[in-house]
Amino acid sequence: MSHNTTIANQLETAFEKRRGISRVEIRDDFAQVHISQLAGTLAESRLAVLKLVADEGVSIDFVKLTPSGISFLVADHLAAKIEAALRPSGTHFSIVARQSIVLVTAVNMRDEEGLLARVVSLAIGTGAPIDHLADMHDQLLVVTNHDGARVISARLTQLMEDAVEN
Amino acid sequence: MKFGGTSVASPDARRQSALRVISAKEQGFSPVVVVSAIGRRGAPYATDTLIGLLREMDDTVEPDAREMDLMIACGEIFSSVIFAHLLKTLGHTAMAFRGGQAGIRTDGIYGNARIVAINPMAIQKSVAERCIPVICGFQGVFVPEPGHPGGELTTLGRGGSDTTAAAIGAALKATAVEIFTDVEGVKTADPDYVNRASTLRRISYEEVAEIAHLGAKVLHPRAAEIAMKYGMSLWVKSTFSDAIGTEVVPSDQVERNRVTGVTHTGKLVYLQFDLKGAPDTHRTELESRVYEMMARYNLNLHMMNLSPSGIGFAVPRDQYPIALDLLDGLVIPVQTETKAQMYMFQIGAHPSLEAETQAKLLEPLGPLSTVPISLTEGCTMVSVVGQEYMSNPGVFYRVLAALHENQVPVLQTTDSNLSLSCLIPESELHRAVRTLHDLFKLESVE
Repeated sequence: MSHNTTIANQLETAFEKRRGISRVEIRDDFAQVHISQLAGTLAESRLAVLKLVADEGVSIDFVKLTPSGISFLVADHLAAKIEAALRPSGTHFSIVARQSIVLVTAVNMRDEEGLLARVVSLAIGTGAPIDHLADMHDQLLVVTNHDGARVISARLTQLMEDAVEN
Repeated sequence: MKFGGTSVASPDARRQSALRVISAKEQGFSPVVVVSAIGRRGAPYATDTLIGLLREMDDTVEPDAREMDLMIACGEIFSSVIFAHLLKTLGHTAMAFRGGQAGIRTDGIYGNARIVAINPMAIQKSVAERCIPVICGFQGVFVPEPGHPGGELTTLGRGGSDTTAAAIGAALKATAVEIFTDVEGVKTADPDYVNRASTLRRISYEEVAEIAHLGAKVLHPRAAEIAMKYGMSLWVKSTFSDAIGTEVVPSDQVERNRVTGVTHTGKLVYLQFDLKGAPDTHRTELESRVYEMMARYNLNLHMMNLSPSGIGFAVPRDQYPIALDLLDGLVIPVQTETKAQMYMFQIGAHPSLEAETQAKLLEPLGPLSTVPISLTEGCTMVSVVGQEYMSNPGVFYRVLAALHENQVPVLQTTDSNLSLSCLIPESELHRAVRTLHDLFKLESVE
């Protein structure tokens, strides 16, 4: 993920990163790929799709297994390569271009009681159309459109600043 | 120099640890020691034993977090006094310090405090007098307001002694921080799972923090993060062998584009919500309500996902009964322009008695749609960690194909710049760890 960072807010204490949300950042220019209605054994069909993408030499991020397929992100400029790889195979897929990622950083966020759920709930509550979610131990990723990312980022930044004031 | 529980567990172990401190002093260094509580679970002064002294009285009464911190901090106090006295018996001046006496200031969260500042004056004075300070790991002090007498003792949570060592090292601008333990360094996998796991000679701060976050117990990620922030040399070594250990270094000093290790963690239950039956306008409302409820009851979510057909996440097994109570038979009304549409959540293929009763009672109020939730109990997470490796084309394919070939079903994945994690049945964990260790030929990694 080496795309443009357009907004970043960060707060730290002298020694350790502060508890709760410490950074909200937007990265632009991604395409969201949803592959669905895979035929045959699901695990093998997913592997076949991943092999097509790997053979095309495209790096994919934030892969999620879905009930009938798989979804992932690629850099926007690689969407055409993905389409070229998948189209001949007859795979059922959709690509949403010009997506943005809101990356929310919070120390050890999976173990901070209810924090991830709270952030996702707030993000959904903004009304922004959320297309994809992924979590790591210290980051949550929310994929939405360009404007939605700004709305979510503003809401979460406000939350972060309120927490600091209190 | 930080010595963990096993390194101070017995008179012989303490002596070996003390001789390492003395050796450092004789080489011209000014050692500062941080110690954990003596021994692990079952040992008389181990943290778990001290917790048990409160809990075993009446397990229906939760001990107060403040009193619990006072109790468990005793383990490190015992340990530091004993270690300091041992150094004296070996002919060296030494002095024990509580965390607060060593100048460690924390926030006010009992049981999981974070260090906000260190005033190392007392430690510097001790070093200047050629005395060896022996500091209690895992604890600090919170001063609620200026002038508060003594402050409140706090503990730093899991891995707190590693964090103490890194923070003290940073405050003193130490030449290096050495974490002494009972293994020879950071391994490419848990040796209980892969007996050919090798010891890494070097690893980056980011990699070791990632490995630790994802289950490896050799070094706490907070310690790695502090060391990284202050650019401090950090080592993981064995108290009981002369192996060189693992040096934790900036990322530009390790081989790029490699996998460093396989880790595993977590006892999880995976829930997948089928929202295909709800129109988009209702779906957003349903998702929002579900996450709101998970937040309200402080449930910790893992492996979250969202797709055109629904949402999913895993919860820790000990929180699953709360999730079950909340979700099974839950009815969420969604207001449309003309009337309310009701959705009832159902865990598993068949409705529970509660869900069935709810459905019957709600029948007169209008149509009720079911949101099926599929449930997979007994899950865990296996991860591969590596510097700049995850962005290589084909990594997902290789990992998922190897697991599939070895009959390890993968329920979900998540990834970052440094790691790729798979949610798998716990029963397949050994096979999964070995498969991934073999796939990346980690027995030959250095």
